[in-house]
Amino acid sequence: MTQKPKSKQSSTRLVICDSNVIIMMSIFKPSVMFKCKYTFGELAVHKSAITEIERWLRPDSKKLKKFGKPLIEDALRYCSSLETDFQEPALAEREKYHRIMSGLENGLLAAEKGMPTSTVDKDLLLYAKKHNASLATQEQTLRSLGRKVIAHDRILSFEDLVVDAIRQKLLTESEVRSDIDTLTRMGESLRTDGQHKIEAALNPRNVVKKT
Amino acid sequence: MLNIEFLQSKIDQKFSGKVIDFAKAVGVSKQAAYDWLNQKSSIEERRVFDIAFALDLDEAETEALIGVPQTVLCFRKKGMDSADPVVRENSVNLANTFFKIDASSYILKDSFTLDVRASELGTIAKLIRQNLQIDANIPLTFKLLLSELNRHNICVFFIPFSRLGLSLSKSSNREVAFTARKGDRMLVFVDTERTKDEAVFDICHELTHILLGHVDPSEDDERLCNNSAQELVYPKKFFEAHPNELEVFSNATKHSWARVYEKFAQLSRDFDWSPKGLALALRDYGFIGKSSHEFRRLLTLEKTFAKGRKTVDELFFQRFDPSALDTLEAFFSDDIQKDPDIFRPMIELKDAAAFGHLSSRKLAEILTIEAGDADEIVRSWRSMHDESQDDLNDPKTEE
Repeated sequence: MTQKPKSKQSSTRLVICDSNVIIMMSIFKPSVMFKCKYTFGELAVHKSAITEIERWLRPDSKKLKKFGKPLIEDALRYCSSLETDFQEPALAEREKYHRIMSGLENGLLAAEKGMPTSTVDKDLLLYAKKHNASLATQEQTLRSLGRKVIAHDRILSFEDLVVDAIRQKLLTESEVRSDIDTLTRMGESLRTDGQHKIEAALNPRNVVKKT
Repeated sequence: MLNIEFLQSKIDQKFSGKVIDFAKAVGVSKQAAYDWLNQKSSIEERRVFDIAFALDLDEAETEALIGVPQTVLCFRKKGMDSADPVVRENSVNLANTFFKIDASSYILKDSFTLDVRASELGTIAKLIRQNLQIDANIPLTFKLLLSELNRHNICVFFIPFSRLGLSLSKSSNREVAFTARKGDRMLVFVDTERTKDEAVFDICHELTHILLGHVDPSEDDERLCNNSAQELVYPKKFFEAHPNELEVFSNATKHSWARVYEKFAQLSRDFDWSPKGLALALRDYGFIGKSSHEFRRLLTLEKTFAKGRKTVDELFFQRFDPSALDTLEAFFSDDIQKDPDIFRPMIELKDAAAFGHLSSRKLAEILTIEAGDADEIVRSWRSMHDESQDDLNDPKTEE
């Protein structure tokens, strides 16, 4: 049965999840990752991410070959309960957000690398900006542009969510290590800085303080 | 660093100069806004979006705010009509993608003269030759042109226009090339469905736009660019310097069809010429008449030679097939290694995506493939790069 998308409550802080984060959470302790009450806010999924994952079920899809049908269907099931009705902006408003983001893709410094993104990338940022939400994504280019559009600390990654769950003692070290192995076997690797964050959360005493 | 002068002008325009209203719209104090305008404090990066939003800026204005020049396109279209709005939008989008990937790339070298005011054909062709440091009587060829342009850091990007939505029809009246200019950065885009001789002509046409600083060229400008291209590919001085060699084409009573065929075949090995291009040049320089037998003979020869001439697409882009992912992957892993000049845009897209300077969804948009498939392709490129880096770092490899 298809669930009706949740309506956004203006008082609730949201974490909008990109499809790449949803699939990682579906592999890595979904029972914890999709249920956790994150300090960053409540998980939310926009229908564009769901549509994207649904497209992974095409017979010739590379994601289908990589993950298999059951895992993709699980991911869709997990995120269906998180689908949020963001109230689509009017076309003129959407275009206004998009064209400003397109301008900012250049980078502010001449030596800085640019960050061309797609319309779906920009939509995800638009919802995060408009609803004062965080965006959880593994996509480097989107993360770079995101830092120019919403506050730095509102650009999250899968690893940030794992760290939050570790700090809330919802995940044990052995669970984390074994599920990271599973992720690696499934061809999903952690971001290098995220890996360090997880390691620090698992062993806070071992962390060498920056001088 | 933001362009404060531009910011002030937009505040004047949108808020009638009332800084307090501007500050409110951005969500900062009046003092903070004054400090920005008086350059007493710098504007935090994350505020730039809010400022652009409050001022209702478009993409070019947002670029102006952050000090990035606007992108200006100049099309070469068969049929001379102005470019279709969809094609124009897609073309700007593609050019901007390359400009955004790396802000320090494609900067024209100082030695290339730009934006000159000239209308005399001889002067224009001479200036282009001076820029390229090529003698007046040497016909420009594909290879020579690409290497000279490379020296000046003007990249020629061969792109399958129709497959990427940069031209609407395959027949006449379609876009075949365009120049994108962003301040001192320059890119020339050429459709891969052009033969080498057509591509040389297109590039020379675009070089004339660049030299003359055309922004929105008129039909007269387009004609001038065509004539300049003709002079560069079929230089009058070359014709004057080789009267005996070219007599084959201008004296039908003396030379047989077989001799004309043989001579043209020899010339086309040295230069990227077409019989039609040669016929038009001989006619325009007064060597043969418009309705002469010699002119018609060369046009007939055009049909014979056209069959054997391959397009850049047929020569290099056969495996660039977005509808067949395995073939497309093979193109990106093998084919693009073969010729860095021809495949430079594809190499740049691949590297940018692999190093996180181009989102995989954006790559999917450009290549017209599914976002999930693009993401997996980019991951494979990234892991291939990581493996090659590991090999480089492995001491055993050094042995």
